[in-house]
Amino acid sequence: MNIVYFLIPLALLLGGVFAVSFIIAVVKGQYDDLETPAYKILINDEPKTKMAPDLISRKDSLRGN
Amino acid sequence: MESQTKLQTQCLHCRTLFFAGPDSQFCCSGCAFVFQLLEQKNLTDFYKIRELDPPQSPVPVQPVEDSFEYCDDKYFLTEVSKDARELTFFLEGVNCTACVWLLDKLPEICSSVEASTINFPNSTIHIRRTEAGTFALAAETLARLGFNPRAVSNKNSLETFKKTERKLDLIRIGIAGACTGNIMIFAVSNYAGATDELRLMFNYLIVALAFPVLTFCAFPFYRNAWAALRTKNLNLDLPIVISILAGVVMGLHGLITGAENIYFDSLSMLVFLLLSSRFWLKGIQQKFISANHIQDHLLVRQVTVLTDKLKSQISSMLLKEGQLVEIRSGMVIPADGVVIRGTGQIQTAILTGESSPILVKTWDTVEAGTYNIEGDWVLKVSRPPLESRFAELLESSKKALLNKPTQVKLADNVGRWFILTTFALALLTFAFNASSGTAEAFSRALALLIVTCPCVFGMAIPLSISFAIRAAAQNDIIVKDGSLFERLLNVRHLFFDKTGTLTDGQLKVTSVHCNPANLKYLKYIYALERNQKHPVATALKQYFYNSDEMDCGKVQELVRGGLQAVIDGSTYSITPIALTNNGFENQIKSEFAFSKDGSQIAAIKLVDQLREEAPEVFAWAKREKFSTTILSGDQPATVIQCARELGLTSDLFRSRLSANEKAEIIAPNAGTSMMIGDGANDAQALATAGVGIAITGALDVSLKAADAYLMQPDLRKIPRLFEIARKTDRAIKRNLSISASFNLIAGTIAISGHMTPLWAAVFMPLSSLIVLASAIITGTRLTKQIETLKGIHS
Repeated sequence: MNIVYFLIPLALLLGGVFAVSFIIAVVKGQYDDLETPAYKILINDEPKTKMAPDLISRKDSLRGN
Repeated sequence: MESQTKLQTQCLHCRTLFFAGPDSQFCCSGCAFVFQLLEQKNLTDFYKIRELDPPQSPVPVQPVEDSFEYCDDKYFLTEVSKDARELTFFLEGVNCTACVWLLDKLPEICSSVEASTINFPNSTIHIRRTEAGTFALAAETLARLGFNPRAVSNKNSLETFKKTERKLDLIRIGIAGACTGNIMIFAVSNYAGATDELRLMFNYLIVALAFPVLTFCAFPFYRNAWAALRTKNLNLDLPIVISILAGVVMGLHGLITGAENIYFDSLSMLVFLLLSSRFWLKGIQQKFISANHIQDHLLVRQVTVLTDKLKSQISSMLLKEGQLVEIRSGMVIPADGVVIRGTGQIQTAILTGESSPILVKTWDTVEAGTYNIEGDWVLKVSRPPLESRFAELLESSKKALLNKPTQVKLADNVGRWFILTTFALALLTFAFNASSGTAEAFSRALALLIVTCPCVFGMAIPLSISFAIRAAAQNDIIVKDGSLFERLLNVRHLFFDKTGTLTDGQLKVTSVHCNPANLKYLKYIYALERNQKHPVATALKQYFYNSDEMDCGKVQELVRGGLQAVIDGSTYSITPIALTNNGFENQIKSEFAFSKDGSQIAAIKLVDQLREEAPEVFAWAKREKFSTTILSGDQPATVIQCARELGLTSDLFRSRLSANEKAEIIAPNAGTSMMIGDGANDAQALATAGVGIAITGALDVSLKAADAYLMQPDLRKIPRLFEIARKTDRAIKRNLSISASFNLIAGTIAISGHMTPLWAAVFMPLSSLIVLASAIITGTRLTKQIETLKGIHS
């Protein structure tokens, strides 16, 4: 029966570790937006292409105003 | 002879159906532009991704002509952001996976953006700019992609507050869950028959683990109960707190005397279940409300201020009295003031409901929030944005909302009765059992308080309501407050606004009378109107759209209204046909003549049409014996026409009403009235009525005053909402009766002194679980039923 005195602290410790890691995850904001990542996962990765030039060139943007 | 055949085609970019000429693939130039951009950037995967998860309601790209230099203004940035390199924008039209994908690519598309984070449910994007970049360029890129960005304050805002609160809630649930789970291990061992030393140790461990649950995690209950006591009210947290405290007292007493039950296991479970169900409810509610924060930023725009021959760009929020502001066509007027140079046509529907544009000239006063359709002019600010009548309207609708007759909520109402009965019973139990010893009497009374579970009020009813909110959301109805469903049951009178509610608020070409021989000239109408922004022009452009790049030289505006241009040597003109007996000056006529070299070749009629489903909804209202009334700010003639089409008699519609008058008409029967309206001019009426429903296209302002918001302007959603309310009401009543019978049995056992620890441990969670299960089953059925209904109707 003495094994109980070892197992109980162990169980509590494990529980504590999970509770603390959950709190850390919450504080870090992992639960702030639960939806967007679900959409992102639908999008396949693709090989990185060379960075394209600006969608609007600076000159264009100045002229536009 | 040339005949005009019109086929509906799907726009390549936004997939809206439109009437197109033979080779046009886009419904508007905005869509064509975005398509070209994406093609040029090798981003056409956008369309492939969209096929995976197509958006439900396609919207054409609205070309935005705002400029965004104000985003880089130092004063502005310190106002809205903690870090000068980060800014959040609210975006319109983020509605599918493809949009998320495209926005995710922003750092690649725009050199000003170092990193961006998209929040899809909130429709916001948080941008961190590069060292040398500007927010203006980022915003402009977003605008060109058709997302119409608006800078949003992320400092000290309600949003930040909600976020912190949400985090704290999650932590509470996490701790409560972890502790309760571990408590169960020991509690089960005890119920299974652990004895002596081991049992005592388990009991102490349970108490130790329950400590954080009953203090930190249960804190919101104590806070709310205390608030209720201070204001001498009874709320649902009060019986919960009493149960907890009674349980703690009994439990500690049991721990010391070595009694069998120490209650802490049941209490922790109760706290955990309550916290979780409340979090769920809050999440569902907030998800649909969060989009509303845009209303706070409505007036934030860049404006050009004229000072001694110099022009400078500032944020409209920094405008001061006496400053001169350049107003261009397509701009929202930022402040109240006077026109001091130039003329224009403004649309005041937002404030007055008047659907026709109004001409303004020098020395005319104009108001913030109205829209300049065409004409460039200069405004002298008389009242800055925050003091404008528009801002006052926002304020007053907020106040009206606060002063709304407090509707006693069903749950609160029955809950109060429940609390009082339980207390009375507990007292009686104590009195009757006093003869058999104070300790015994006290323990019976406490057992009664603990086992009679208030969770039907704390969990099941909120859950049923959250299912109702979700069912409504599936039908594109955003419900601001769950008590709406209860108030809906009292509604007997329906009040409708006209412009934008019963009609769709947009002029449409309804008939074209033209000699077949002259049909071929009709295409010039598009060429004439191409650069016009007037509602009439928009309607004509949509109807006569073609892709011919005709050059019609200089388009002249005629003094008496209308346009004229020379094409291929002939003079073409579009002029309003003067209708006789029209006493209203400044009103845009709804009939136009298209002439070639001075002789009329076509007559075109434009009407702001009734929504097609309006008659159906009025027939439904008649069946349901609701009284229906139209309250409009529009001209009598238009309102009469509208009422006639809906078969209403003369006492059931009122025209030329001001915002105040509408509210006054509703006020006497506010509790039993429902107002369905659109626009800030209805804000007061929406807030006054027991139930206010804002219909889409309405200014975001209406949301402040309204209880529900229709994301799609479909009046058939109103019967749907009533149906949801009735079904929810039935579900709540069923749960109440289940809970009542449970409490009756448990109460009887407790009073008679037979509440053994095992019974108490079984009863408390069991009654909670049964009521919860009932709420969830009826709730899912509700959402499913409504879903099928949706399928049949649409």
